Amino acid sequence: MSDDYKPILEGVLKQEDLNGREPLEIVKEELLKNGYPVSDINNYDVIFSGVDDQDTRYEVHMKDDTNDLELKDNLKEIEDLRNSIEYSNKSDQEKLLDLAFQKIDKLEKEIKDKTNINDYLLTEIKSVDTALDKVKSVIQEYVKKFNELEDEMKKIVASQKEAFENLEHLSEEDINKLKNDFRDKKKERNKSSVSVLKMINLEKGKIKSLQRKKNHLKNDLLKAEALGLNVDEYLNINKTLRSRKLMNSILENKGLKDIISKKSEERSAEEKNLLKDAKEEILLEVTNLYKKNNDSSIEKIIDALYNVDTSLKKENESRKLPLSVNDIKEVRNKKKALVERVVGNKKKTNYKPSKAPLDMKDVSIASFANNANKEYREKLLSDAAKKKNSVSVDKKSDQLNIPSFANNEYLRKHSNDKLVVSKKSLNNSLDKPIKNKTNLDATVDLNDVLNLLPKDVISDNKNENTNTVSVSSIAKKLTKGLVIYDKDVEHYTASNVWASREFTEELEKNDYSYNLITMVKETAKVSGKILKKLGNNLLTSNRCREAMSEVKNRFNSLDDFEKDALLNSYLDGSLSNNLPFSIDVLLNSSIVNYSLEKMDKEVSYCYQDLVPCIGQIQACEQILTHEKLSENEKNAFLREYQVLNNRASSSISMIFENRKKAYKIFDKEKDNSLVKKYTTVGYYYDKDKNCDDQVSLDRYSRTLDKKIENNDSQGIVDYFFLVEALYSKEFYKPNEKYEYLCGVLGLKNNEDVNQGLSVMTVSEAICRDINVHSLRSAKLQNLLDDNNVTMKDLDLSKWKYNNLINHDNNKFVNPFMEDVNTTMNYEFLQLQAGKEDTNKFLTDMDNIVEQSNKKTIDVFKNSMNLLNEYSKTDSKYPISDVEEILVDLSSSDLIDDLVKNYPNPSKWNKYLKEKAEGFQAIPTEILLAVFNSRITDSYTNIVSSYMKNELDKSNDIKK
Amino acid sequence: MIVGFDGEKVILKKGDKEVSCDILFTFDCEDTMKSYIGYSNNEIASNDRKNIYISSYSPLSGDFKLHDISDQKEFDMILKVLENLSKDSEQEVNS
Repeated sequence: MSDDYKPILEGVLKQEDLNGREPLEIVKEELLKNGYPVSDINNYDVIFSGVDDQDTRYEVHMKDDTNDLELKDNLKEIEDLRNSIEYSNKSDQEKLLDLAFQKIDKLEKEIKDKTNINDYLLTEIKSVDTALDKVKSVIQEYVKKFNELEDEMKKIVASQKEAFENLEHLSEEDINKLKNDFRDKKKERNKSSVSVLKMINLEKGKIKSLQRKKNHLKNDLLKAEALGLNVDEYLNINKTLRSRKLMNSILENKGLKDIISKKSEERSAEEKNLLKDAKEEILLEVTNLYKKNNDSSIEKIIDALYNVDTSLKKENESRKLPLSVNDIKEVRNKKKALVERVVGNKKKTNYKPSKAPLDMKDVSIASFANNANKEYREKLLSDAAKKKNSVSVDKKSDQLNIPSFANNEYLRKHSNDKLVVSKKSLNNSLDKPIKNKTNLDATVDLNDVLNLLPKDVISDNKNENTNTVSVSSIAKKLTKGLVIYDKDVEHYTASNVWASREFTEELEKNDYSYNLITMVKETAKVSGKILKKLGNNLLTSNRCREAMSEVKNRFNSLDDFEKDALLNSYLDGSLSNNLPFSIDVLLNSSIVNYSLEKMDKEVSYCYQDLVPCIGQIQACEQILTHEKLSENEKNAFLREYQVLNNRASSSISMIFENRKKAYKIFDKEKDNSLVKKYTTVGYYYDKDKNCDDQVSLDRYSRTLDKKIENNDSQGIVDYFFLVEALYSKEFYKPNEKYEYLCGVLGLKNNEDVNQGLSVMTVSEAICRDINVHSLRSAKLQNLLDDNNVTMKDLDLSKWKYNNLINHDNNKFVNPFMEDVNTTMNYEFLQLQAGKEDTNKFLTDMDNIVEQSNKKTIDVFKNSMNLLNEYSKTDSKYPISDVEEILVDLSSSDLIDDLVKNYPNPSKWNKYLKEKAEGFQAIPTEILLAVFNSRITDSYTNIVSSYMKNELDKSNDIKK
Repeated sequence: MIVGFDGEKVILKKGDKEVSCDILFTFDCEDTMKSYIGYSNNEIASNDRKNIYISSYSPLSGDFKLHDISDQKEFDMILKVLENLSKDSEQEVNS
């Protein structure tokens, strides 16, 4: 071997690099790294030589032989191949591919426009297949050629070795040139090979992509045909359903939550099949409904079928907003706190009720909402009957036992059952149903439900307002034929100047300089007489007076669209550009009044719908938490829960839209006292008032805005509670009923009455506490355990264990509590409506007190009979301790203390601690029954006594 | 047409106190459709100047309330009125 013979690879292997491996193995790796094939190592000569004791030097040479001419030819061929693929305008296979792509695109368009596919389209798809096959075969040819070239290249490189063995007759310069030539050729060869390979792979990729596209198209085409849809419709449905979040949400509703929560690879074959079947079923359900309602959007159909949030198909960022555990807790707490605050329990809130404005009156939401919904329901049913091909709403929702407006606990317990609305709003509302709201109780034509989404209606109105009405045309209409001076752009001119004698004398003497104060921080008052005089001066011009009056009349006769256009122009500040200045000033107050009236009406509608809806949401939450529900029932309630949330959130969105608009008006019109105190549905929109938690309020309001923007129903409802709870501290006007009562009875301090009337809520809270903290009889449980009977078994068997007959005290007491509550509310309403005088009212109250007292004694007796019976079968049962407790509960003032001082009744807490063991021996139902009856007794007694005393005082004063 | 207001007062409420102010001058402006009123409790401020409060009133709103003045053009007009009053010491001035 010549010294000049150049190795294709050389290097040094260090001992530590070997790490127990064979040197040849490492050389093979190095060859591979440098792009040499190593399938047959015998094609190479590998020479090892020692450098020192530790390191080994190696050289790799090629063995094969061929001549330079062949090498050049082959290199040229590779170059040509590379150029043909990489640089030429279009190679044959590319042209074929392009044609195939074009054909597929064309087919895609054609198919989308056709209702039914036909043989022609399928034939065309097949022709694409044929084209593809041709391209594939061409590519295969190139691949084959490329492999051949690779083999030849091995031979060429081997010839290099031989060439270097006969270098004696060449000069050193020629040898170096030869070396460089070979090195360059090898480099070029490697580069070409890699490029060709890449190009072939790229073409293969294109073919695969085309194949996938074609297969999808074929697949969509066949599926669309099977479902009786055109491809466009099918793709639209599929695209909507393809959103993972949305599909998961639907699948969760179908009870497949466990499966979809697993990773795909963790799912069993059976689970995968189940998912596949479920997805196909969903597709079929949506398709079937779509065929009957093809004028509705897919989202609406999905919403109607599964009650899922269809906005999930978008990546909803708001859902990713970090919400701390504390925030969530706060939401829940505020929900509860709001109720208590509204009720007006002075121990829990800083709220102070105030008088309703003169132009407002109380309205019972229960009857209000029912009336409205009744008419609305009738309208829906009537419209549904008229429609052909109507689809019945899912029967499941009809069967849900969510409390209706009329008997909803929420309405009874919360002061929100009475809202204060303007008389005008009330009249309007009673005349017509609440528009654009779905009704849960009615079996209706789904077409109607789907078409009744308020947002669409709102946005339509907006478009109509802005697109069809021009402010300048209205301005012309308002001022046509009137002589009105345009705004003086240079300066204003004063007229009718008057100055007091003292002031002119002072000016003459020139004794003083003056500070002119035009922003009076202090409140300034002046008699109306002076201002009337001033006004008369101003309007002494007949021209001006008549023109102003005419403009005002013309404004009133504008239709709502025109007024809305002026309002929008006023809000965005462009009104003054379109109108003479003086007209602008005049119209401001008219526009503001119009706007506030309109908002008042809209907000009233929203609250009328929202209040019962929130009640139902809470009822749903309670049912979902506490009741034993089957999976189907649970899913049905969850769906209903979502629908209610959607409904509530749409009302809330509208309320806040109006609220924002109101604030905007206040900002613009802070000098206009007409709008200083804008009152609507129980809220003061008064900028002058400050909230205790202004920062929190701002934060929650901003979040609520985002939730509204993102249509996040659950978030909207939750944050609504947070915001409203804060508002309520300053702005909320609670039920005016109690105030009215105080007025009727001549009471000066109504706080105690409020306290008394809220006892029912308190008593229920106590009972809930007992349930939550579970004062279950642990001792009794032990006894039962000894007999292998659980408390659950016992409860289920209605206490028929060991001849122990359950009197079902709760069933005995609860209806009574309900009766008392209903009767008391009825009495209040009668009194309030003037249908009953106060003497009759108090007599009725006495009867209620008597009945509740008797009921307590009955419950006590029944309970003791029950427990005495049981103690006969169990000598260890502490019957005397239990009896002592029940006597205390039924007849001492313990419960009075509990009721009056809840939630921190010291006497009661102490007693509970002392008698803890005895309490544990009392079965839960008995304990609750005694509690309930005695609390009812205490409650009625407090209210009755207090009112009687105050009435006596009032009579004394009159005498 | 001049209407006198001699003897009439504007009441300023400063905290809990009510301060009676004399009405110094009034005028109207058709451009703004407002009337203006200047009044003072004759209090001398720390810069040895007498305070004159000026408010506007809109007869069109019918609310019988005094409002602040924030428009520069309105303020300029008030200054002109006072300038003319100083010059002429007349009861009726057209600026």
